[in-house]
Amino acid sequence: MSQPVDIIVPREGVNDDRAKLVEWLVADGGKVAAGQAVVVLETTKKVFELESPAAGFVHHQAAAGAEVDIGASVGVITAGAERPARPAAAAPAPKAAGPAAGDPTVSAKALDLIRKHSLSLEQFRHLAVVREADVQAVLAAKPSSAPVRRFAGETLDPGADWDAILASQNHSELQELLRALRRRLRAKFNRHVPLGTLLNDRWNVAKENGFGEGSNVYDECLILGDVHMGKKCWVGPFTILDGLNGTLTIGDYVDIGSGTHVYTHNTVERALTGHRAPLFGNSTSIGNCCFIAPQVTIAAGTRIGNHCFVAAGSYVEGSFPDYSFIQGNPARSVGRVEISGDRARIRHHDAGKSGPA
Amino acid sequence: MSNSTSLSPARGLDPDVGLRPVLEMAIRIRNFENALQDLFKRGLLFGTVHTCVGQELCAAALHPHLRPGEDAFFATHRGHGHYLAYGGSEEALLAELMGRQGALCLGRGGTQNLFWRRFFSAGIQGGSAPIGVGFAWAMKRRQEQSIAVVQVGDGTLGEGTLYEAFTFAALLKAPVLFLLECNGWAQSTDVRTTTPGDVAARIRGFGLEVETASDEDPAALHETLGRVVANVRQGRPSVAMIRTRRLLAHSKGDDNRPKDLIEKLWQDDPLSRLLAAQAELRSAQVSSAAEINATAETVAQRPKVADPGNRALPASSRTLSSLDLHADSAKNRALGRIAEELNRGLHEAMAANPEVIVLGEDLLDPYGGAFKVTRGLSTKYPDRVFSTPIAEAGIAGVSNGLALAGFRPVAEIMFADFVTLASDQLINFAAKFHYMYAGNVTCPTTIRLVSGGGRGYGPTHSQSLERIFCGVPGLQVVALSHRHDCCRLLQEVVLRNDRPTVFVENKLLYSERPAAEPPLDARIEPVEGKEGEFPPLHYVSASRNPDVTVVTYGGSAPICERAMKRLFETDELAFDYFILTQLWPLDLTGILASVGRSRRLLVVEENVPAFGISAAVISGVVQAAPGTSCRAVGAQPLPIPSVRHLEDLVLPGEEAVIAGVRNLF
Repeated sequence: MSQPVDIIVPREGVNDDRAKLVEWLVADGGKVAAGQAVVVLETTKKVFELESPAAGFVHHQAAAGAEVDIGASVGVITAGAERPARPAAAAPAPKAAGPAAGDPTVSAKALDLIRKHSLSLEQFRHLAVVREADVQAVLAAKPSSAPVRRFAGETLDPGADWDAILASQNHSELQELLRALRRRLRAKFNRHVPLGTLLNDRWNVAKENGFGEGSNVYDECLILGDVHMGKKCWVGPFTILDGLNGTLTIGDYVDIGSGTHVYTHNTVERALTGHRAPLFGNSTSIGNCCFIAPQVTIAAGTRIGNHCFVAAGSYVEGSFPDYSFIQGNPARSVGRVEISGDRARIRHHDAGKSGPA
Repeated sequence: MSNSTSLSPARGLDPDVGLRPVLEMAIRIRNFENALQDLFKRGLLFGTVHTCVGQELCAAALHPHLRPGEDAFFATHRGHGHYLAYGGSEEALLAELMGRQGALCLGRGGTQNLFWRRFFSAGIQGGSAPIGVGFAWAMKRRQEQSIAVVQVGDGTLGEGTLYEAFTFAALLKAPVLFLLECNGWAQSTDVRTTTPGDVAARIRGFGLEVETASDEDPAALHETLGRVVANVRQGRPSVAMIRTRRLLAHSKGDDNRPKDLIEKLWQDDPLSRLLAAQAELRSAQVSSAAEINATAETVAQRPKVADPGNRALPASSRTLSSLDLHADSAKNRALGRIAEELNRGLHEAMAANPEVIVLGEDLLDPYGGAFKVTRGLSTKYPDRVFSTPIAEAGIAGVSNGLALAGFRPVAEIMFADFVTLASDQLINFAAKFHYMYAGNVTCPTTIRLVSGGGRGYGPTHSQSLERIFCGVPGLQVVALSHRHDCCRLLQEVVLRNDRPTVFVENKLLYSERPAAEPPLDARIEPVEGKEGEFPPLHYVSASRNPDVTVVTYGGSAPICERAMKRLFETDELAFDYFILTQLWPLDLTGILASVGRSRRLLVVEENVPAFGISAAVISGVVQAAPGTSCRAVGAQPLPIPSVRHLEDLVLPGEEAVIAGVRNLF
């Protein structure tokens, strides 16, 4: 016997495609005679012993308790005592009941995109299934990963004596200080800003609200409830970012012009019915790389895609896909944003008209 | 029903009055049957009656040896005499037959299907015999020292079930007496033309004791029956063959026997001769006739019996959620193969309740059942596992008897194909008891069917016949799948369900391990079952609204899941996915809500869809939600061939499911 001989799991009944290795009767590396019982197997039908197909030394390839396929080899018999250098293929592959946990099912379209953009499947491990849209979202957000967290408010001290505070030395010193700060701003940046922004660094405001790196927000912005913002955003003064009755999600590279209000609630029906109707709430989102011009109102439940342009004074309600040019009251998608390299053009569907830029 | 083991004295005869009470009872029975003839003519009885005129002495001579309420009696369609002799109320029976208030079984059972204390009658020939054996065995197990009597006519000697009952009675040494009333006629047929050979020799061949008697000598009959009853009480199952006669028609207006023959029968009638000879009996006849007629007139004046609205299935307070029934890696210990889980379920059920009895073919260790589901049970509980003869009607019948007596039998049908042999017991008995006996009994029997193809077993060992039982009021049909916690599911059926249940086990799943992680991106939706029912497993896509609602059960579930995975990969479809646990009664609540979102329904089963589960689901959905796009995927309308590649052509696979989904768009 020059070649090792496999101990093959036979088919003992029609009901099983696998058997369980109950125990080895001969230790790993032990000597066996031809026809000697070496291993005990169990199917749903019966427990049975396998005899050694040859004399020699037995080398286990599956452990007690393992499930082995019918027709697979559980061990080999060699003429010499040394363990044979057998290819791993001879050993029964461990049988997985299904895909490993955390192994997502990927659609053909998604797989195409992943390959085309040389993405790694690792990026999608957190999903159970991966659709084309999931891959597109990753591509649109790239590079991304802005940390977002929920804003937590603080309460005022109710015991403060405001008359005393206003008459105090501190108060006059504070006014002195503010005048100094205004003079400095005028000299350095040639601008006057409201008190809040005078005192509070815009980048700090963004940071303290948990917004992404490099974003800045005027202190004259109402930030309410559950507001998430990515990186490199700019939010002008006299704005409202409302996450009170839903989540307000703003992506990366978004500019929100002065006086723009973004809501996740309204009380229209509640007011009109004398509070018989409940308050309406729904989550609102703005994608990456959007420009929201001044004096825009974005209603609760609105979804604005990536690379969208919202014209000044618009009232926006509804869902808008990527690259939309959104305008009017009520606003509609009236054209497209086209991006070529470092250039962007805003084109009206009606060829005669053209957007700004 | 009394479970008492205390003994009340049998009503033997007082030596001072002699045979008089026997004769008076016989006369009373005849008067009762005559009153029915009269009521029928006056249009006060609806349907039919089968009178025992001519055979009254069989009942009158037997019952003094029995203890009503302790000894059980299983009567045929011709059972009024035994009911009355057992002590049953004339008034309640009259109300039952006339459909008036006070009816014994609410007017549901009628002449052939009566229940009172431990008296049961049923209108299927021979079917009560194994039930009586099971009931007798139950009483013996409880050491009650009671017996069961099974009334049989000689017209029933052709029924195979009777012989299965003889076999089981002899094997179990069940205290059962078969009272064979030989009136010579099977409806319109002279029994001599249909009964070859020697009947007594036949019966002795089963190892039963046989006594023969004639009602022509009532005293000798009474004495013989006393001896036989005592013999049975000693644990020797016996048959008493009594020569008697039927004087009237089989039922109503269907007596085609020659006139001279009927005249001869009347001349030989012992009761007529006794009445002619004894004036005292004639006066007893007159007075009891007057009493019975007065009762009948009173009952006839009563309002019609009202239906209290009992359901076909007994009420239950048990509620289950889908979360209780699904295999869950977070909830469960490491789960074994499904056959092992069922085995564990049976071991735990037997440990939990000593009234769980397991019976079926080839169950004993070391074989442990054809699919090893009962492995180890006979070693651990040798007196509670009954490895039976190959006799499915007997298995199901004995189970019914055990269940009627309060046990919780679990019967294995080795291949579901064989359940046709037991279907009479399920459809005509288990399903009917609760309702036809006015909600007064339950029959908590579990019949396990080893179902399905895909193993090359061929046309007679591969079918999924659960559809036969779906749609039968009074049965519950439950199926396991690879996503069920099969150990728990079987225990819920066996231990906590008082309804007769057909439990469907697809044999391809036995060697599978339960799938504990939901398919694709699904999460399991909690579904609260109605009281006593088994809710479906419902899986919803966690990331998208469903494009298609898929409904399946049993062995078709893994096939659906492979197809759904491929459809996600090619078409990014999202599914609302139901695995039915209870096939019948069918609750479509969750499915209707789902098709409201998806507007598309695919039902997949291993059977032919026509007249099957998918036909029922789709019919319910299109009635409640018209406009739903529906498709059924199932087997080709052919027997299931043996050879694997031909079997694949008949049974539905992944490709058929994929095509079915595509056809919805």
